[in-house]
Amino acid sequence: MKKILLAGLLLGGCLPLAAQGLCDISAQRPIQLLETELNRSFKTLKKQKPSIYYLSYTYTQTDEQALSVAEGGIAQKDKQQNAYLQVMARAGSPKMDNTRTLKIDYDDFYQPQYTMPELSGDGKAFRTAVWRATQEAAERAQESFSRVQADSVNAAKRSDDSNDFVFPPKSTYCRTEAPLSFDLERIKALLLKASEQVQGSAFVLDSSFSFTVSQGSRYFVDSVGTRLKTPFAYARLSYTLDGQTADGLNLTRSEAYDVLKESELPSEEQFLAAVQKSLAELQTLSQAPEAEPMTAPAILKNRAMAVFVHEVLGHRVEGFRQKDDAFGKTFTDKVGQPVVSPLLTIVDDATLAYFDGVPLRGFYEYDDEGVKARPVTLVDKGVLKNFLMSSSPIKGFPKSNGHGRAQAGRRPVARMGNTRVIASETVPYEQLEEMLLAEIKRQGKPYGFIIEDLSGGFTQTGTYAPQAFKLEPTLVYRLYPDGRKEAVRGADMVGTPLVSFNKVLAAADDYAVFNGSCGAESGWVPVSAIAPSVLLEALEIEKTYKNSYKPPVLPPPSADKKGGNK
Amino acid sequence: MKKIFLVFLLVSGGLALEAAPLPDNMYFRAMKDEMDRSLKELRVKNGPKPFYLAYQLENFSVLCESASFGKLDDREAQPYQRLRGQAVLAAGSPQNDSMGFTEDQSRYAPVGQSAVPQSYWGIRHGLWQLTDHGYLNASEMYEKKQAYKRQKNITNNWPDFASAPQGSFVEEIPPFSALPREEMQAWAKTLSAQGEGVSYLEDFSASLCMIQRDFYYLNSNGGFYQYAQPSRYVILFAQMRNQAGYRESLRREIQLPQDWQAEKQNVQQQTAQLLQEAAQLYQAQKAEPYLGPVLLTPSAAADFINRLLVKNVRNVKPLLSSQRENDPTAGAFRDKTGMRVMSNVVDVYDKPLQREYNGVPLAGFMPVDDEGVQAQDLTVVSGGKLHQLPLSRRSASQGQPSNGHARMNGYTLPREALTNVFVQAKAPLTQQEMEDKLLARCRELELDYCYILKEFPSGQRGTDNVVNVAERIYTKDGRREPVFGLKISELSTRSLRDILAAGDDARLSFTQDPEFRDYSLVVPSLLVDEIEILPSDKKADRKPFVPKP
Repeated sequence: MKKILLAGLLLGGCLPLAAQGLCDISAQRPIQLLETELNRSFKTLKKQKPSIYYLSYTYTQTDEQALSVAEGGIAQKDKQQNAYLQVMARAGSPKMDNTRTLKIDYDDFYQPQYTMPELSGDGKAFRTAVWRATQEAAERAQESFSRVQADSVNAAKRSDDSNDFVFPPKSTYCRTEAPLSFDLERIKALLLKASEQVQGSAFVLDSSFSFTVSQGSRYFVDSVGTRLKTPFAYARLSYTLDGQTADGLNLTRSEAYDVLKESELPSEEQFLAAVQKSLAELQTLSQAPEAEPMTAPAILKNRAMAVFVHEVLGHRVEGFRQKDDAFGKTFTDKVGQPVVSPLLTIVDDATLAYFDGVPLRGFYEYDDEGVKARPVTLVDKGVLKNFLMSSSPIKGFPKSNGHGRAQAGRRPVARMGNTRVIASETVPYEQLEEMLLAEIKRQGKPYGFIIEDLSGGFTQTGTYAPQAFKLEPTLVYRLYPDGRKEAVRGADMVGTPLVSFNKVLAAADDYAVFNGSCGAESGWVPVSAIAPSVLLEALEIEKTYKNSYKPPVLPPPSADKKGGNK
Repeated sequence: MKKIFLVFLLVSGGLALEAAPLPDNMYFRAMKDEMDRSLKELRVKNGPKPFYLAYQLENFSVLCESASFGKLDDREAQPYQRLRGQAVLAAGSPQNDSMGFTEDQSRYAPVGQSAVPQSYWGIRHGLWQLTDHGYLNASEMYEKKQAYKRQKNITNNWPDFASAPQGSFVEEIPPFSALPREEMQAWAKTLSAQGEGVSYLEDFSASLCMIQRDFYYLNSNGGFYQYAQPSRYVILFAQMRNQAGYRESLRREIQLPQDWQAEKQNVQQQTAQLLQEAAQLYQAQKAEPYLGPVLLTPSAAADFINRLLVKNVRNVKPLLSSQRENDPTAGAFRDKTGMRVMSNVVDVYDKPLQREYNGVPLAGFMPVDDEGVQAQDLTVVSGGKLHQLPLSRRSASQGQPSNGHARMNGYTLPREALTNVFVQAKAPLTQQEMEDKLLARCRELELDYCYILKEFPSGQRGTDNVVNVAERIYTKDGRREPVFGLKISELSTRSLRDILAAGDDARLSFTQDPEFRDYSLVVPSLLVDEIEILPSDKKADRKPFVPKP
């Protein structure tokens, strides 16, 4: 068995961002105007009753492009620039403030965002817009705090009576980055070519080929004195092919390439070959037998394992879920105890910009509460060590570790960034398959599973439902004891977190990145997860939901395309 | 050069006697080929066969620029463009079909798709999905409708879907041409800058939008149309806390003619007028309960007519539903033809073929309706009596043929509706005469004052009944006093019969019905004998913590 040192992985595969494009924060016009308005307002607001004891502004400039193509035509081609402001006003005191969840209000994370006027000239229009947003945020915060106060009169004792807020440390940071640049005409031609490649296949009921770019800068100013400017950038080339079986099962094959440079894009040959591969897989799936519910040993391929860790463990170690009694608190009292196989160490490190040449969507320098990102070892050789923390402290974890994140229009809570699984011992992937065969035979099972790809999934963390997860594989193979592989359709992975993670028997050395977007209370945030393929002693498979509607009566029109566009 | 083919064909039972040239472009080729394939091959075992299919493609383009206090919103988008598709499919037979029945009366809409790829195969693919889905849905509705009719012992004296002569209208589609970007930006900045320096205004913004909707329609009976519907408008918005601490806002939408340059001065004046109204609103008194005559300015009168007349002269054929016996979406005047519904001081006409009013493109322009029938002008109200209703191929229960008023959009399948509504005074009075008449009536009723409403609650979903802009006019000396915070109580169609006089100041407004179909209304100021006004329940807000910068 091959042992890989953690240090080796850090140096070999991952790239923290070098200090580049640093700038003078005090010379930034948005910072100057926001600071002026914050100082002017906060002086008065903190004296109000109830007091606005903390105030922050996040001003975001975005530049977005989206190109979507299907059936040899452009469906969407948009380019837009926006600038918007979010105001965080906290009323009351750190002990109890307006952000506390009410007894009957589970999910109030809404925070308005305001489109802003341009900054040019004397800045008066900009400052007026900031003033308007501040007034509204302060009023909302005071109203919410009144509700929190009233609610607390009749609330049961909280099992964790930690403060609602801890002041973030004062920080100053300024960085700019050159805008992303892509040859959009070349990409458009590539997407059109790929979209025509899937025509003529009756089993492809829908397809979409797209390229999206989102980039910009975020400016942050708060009443503690933090002043930040950080750039962000994401670009993605992707496609999706959809099908449906006669018995109503939806089938999907998709691929996404996250890039930050033209040179990181796949070549035309690579992209078209990937589409062909997905096409073949979709055809195979459309004729494949349906999965039967069963428990069997299985390999979770690297990207599937990455999603598995994100859903099954990651969400359960988000700090705020340990505090609120509405959550199941699977891991709250397990710090210092083994929670997963001792083979695994799990770190969330948002400071990594790349892994093995792949840009990580979960990269950021400061979180959405102005706290510097840093690596957090969540699990060390199977033992739980830490939680992901925002500025809402919990028992034993009084400070943020830079994981307060939110989508625009939402209030930040603790979320994942780049979640990495590191195995203390690994084997080549081929050996992992041999180990799976041996395990199938040892358990006397008719077959095991290889979970090749996952589209995503969900996990229940509330006490109102079982503490279970369900993941949705899009490509699953049965592996028979004689080594034969057979694709099956309609298989979902289910289980409970405490059991599932202890079933990891071995890991491969084939680390890979799953780049995605994660949706939770504070909205959708870009995340990455990095993991090797693992062998599970047992995995429970159940049948997937089927659509009760008939599939289309006629084949798609382009199925009999004989050549030439009309 | 603009080519126009206006051909209204005589078609019997949906079969064309003379073929008009179907436009030879990608949109019609795709619609025709997918329609032919679907009608020939689309079948499910034991299901009704499709006998009618209509497609509408809409190429929607928009560009907006907006500014607040003289500075552009830091938001820029290149013209947004989308090709949208809709399909209407009827299964069974014209005598007995799948349409006009719903389980949920809030949902009687065509299947639609919002981003159809711009290619022949992309359009066919989109239409295929809509048709297939529409057919399966129609098959299910057909069975449910037949079961319901058996249960309720309903028999058809008239076909569900009558045949009608099919028409066509084809016009070359011009490319979407917004104003030069810089010019739009400069104009938005100039207009919004007029609010600078007004201490009580928390916001004053101006948005300038250019829209073009290109329509392509084809049905399986031979009806088709192709034309572009442009629209250009300015929206002004003022937000404030008035002297009494109430948060108030004013909004004005100004439609622009094709020759928008000529309108620049008018828009400038209307901006100044809005600021003047904002100044009045800032100092206005809170309303008190009132019952008596009210003068509605043209803008308020248009909302009044929309709410009480237009909404009640729509959806003439009620939907059948297993969930509810009465169709709440059907207009209340649908069976009142020949009855007195309105005062006889005005007549009402509907003119779907009128394209412009004072150079402004009309929102209800419709040469051929969404069942392929040539639209006809209607005399809706004459001498106070309801004269003609909008009719479709589905409202033929009295044996009356369609008059080309079936209108659909993303929220409703084709149903009867008006289009461009003109309210014409028989003896128009000047503004001064209208005010004199108002005061005379107030004196007659021994009232200290009466009301002039400059806006009227539209009654649209999601809006409250509060009026922001109103004035009291005193009977003693004709003095005017701005008032805020009014709401209209218990308005009924009775008020249409209470119209005492109409002005000579007809103005164009745009509005929508609850199904979001667009209308143009050309309405003069109206004097209504009795409207009940109550103070709104709105409470004052606190003053800003920090003064405006």
